[in-house]
Amino acid sequence: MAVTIAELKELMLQIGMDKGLVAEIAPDSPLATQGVDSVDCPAFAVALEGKYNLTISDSDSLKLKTLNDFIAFVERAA
Amino acid sequence: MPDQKVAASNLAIALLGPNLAKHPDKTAYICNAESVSYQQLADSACRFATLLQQSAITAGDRVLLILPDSPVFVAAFLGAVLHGAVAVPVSTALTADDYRYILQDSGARFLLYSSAVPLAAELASPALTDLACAETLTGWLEQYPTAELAAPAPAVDDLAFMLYTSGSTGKPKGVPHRHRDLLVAAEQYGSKVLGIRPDDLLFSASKLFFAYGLGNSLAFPLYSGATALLYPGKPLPEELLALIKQHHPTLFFSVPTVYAQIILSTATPQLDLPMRFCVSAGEGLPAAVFDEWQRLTGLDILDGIGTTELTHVFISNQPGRIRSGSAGQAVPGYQIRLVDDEGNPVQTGTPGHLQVQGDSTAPRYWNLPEKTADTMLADGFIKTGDVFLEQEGYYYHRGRSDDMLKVGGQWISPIQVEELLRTHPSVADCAVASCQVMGLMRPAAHLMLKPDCIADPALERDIRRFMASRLQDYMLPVRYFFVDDLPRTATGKVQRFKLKR
Repeated sequence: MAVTIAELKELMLQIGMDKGLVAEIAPDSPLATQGVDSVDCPAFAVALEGKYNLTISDSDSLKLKTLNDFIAFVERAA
Repeated sequence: MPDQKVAASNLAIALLGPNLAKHPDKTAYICNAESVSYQQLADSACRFATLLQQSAITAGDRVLLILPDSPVFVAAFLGAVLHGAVAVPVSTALTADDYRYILQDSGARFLLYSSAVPLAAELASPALTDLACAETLTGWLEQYPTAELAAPAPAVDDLAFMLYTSGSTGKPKGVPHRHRDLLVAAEQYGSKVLGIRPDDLLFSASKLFFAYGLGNSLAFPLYSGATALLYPGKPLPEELLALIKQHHPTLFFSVPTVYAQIILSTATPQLDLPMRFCVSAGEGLPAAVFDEWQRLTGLDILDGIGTTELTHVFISNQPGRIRSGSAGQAVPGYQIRLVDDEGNPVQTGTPGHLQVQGDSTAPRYWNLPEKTADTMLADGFIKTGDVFLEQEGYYYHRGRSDDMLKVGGQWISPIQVEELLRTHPSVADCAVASCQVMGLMRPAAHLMLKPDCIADPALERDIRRFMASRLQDYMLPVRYFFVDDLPRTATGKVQRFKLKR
């Protein structure tokens, strides 16, 4: 399944993240260093699970740090 | 110092006295660009005690402290205790309503607040003496004379401090403590479990106004003659890592949410943190966080569980005896029992309600006799509301026996979140219950919408923003479920436990 950065950013907007913050997110840097905090992180993970009908295990959730990590994860799981 | 008697003396004298005799010029605290010696700390505590005396504050009066972590916090806390008053430190991030409630409930007659907390300034009234301060101890209260460190020995039941924690009704509840309670925690957990030494530098991401942080950053370093690093700001991963790199603490204390955020913020395969070990409490540490932290840093996290009522941690893993996924073993001096719904002990391996007894237990709740009678049992044990099971002396968290949620080390009453959700124009009714995300407990909202409202992503986004602008971050639901009905009892009460995921 091909997933784009734009789709993941749209998902971030759906969970109410700030539009300006989402626009600035670089895909290869950890989200947690780009203003995605301890509320946004789990909310995004949950939204991703719902949209792509997959489950993120506890240990996987600690390895998904960048948008590119999430894209690779979704594509692997598909 | 760990062999000193913990019961007989004023808490401030017990923490400061031995250090003044042994090493008055040793650094007690580092905060921003300031280093504070034990002598400076004691002098400032004495000056604050003098100020309270001149303000007609008497023994037993409550002194409200709304301060970020700084040497001023520590000096004011100790000064209030030295004077015989009851220090009441509270969070710097409460709502105006909560501040007013705590002021009224505690009956505080003196308020010391940081000028960085504007809501605190609004509490001023003719019945309250108030004083604003900065975060730097140097020069603070220098117009007041210092004095020799002295205070009469307190009676065994005299109170030294009181903390507020979130109650099941949504209102904060006061948990008062005696002079000995922090000293017992410092001896039983700080010294006997963590083995804190005079050459340690302690750094706690959890703030001093929490029981966990009060032990980590005030009682433990002073009791052991060590040094503590304080950080007044929000504990974000980059700031914490920069401070660790700059100061090289030997022990780091935090909560699982912060450990997870540090892991997620680290792009490199390894993270070099030269320290003895790390400590976690406040919420259950997921095995995945323990394992990933160990892989990333090579360091163990000692997980434990404590409560404000017991002062600090009473079940903990110990160096060299760690079981990932377990809260650990009973801390020396604490008795643990697991009971069924009728109060009978359960068999090993069977979940039961956790009850704890120890010498650091709060004598009662403040102004809540019914809650006290229900929670604090006649034989000295206290109901924690947690469900655990025990195997081979190790305790494993299995959930809550009530509807309270513990998120990022802080309690949430679902009632608080539900009341706000019901004020959204599209919400007819709702319930908030816990869900597991990334191994950690988080709030989830289950919403019944008003007729003609459509459950779609735009509405969810609108509700999320509505909540985010009105609630502290840790209380925000991370999941929203739109439902046609909520599970209820025959009398119509919502059964939140059926919604836990």
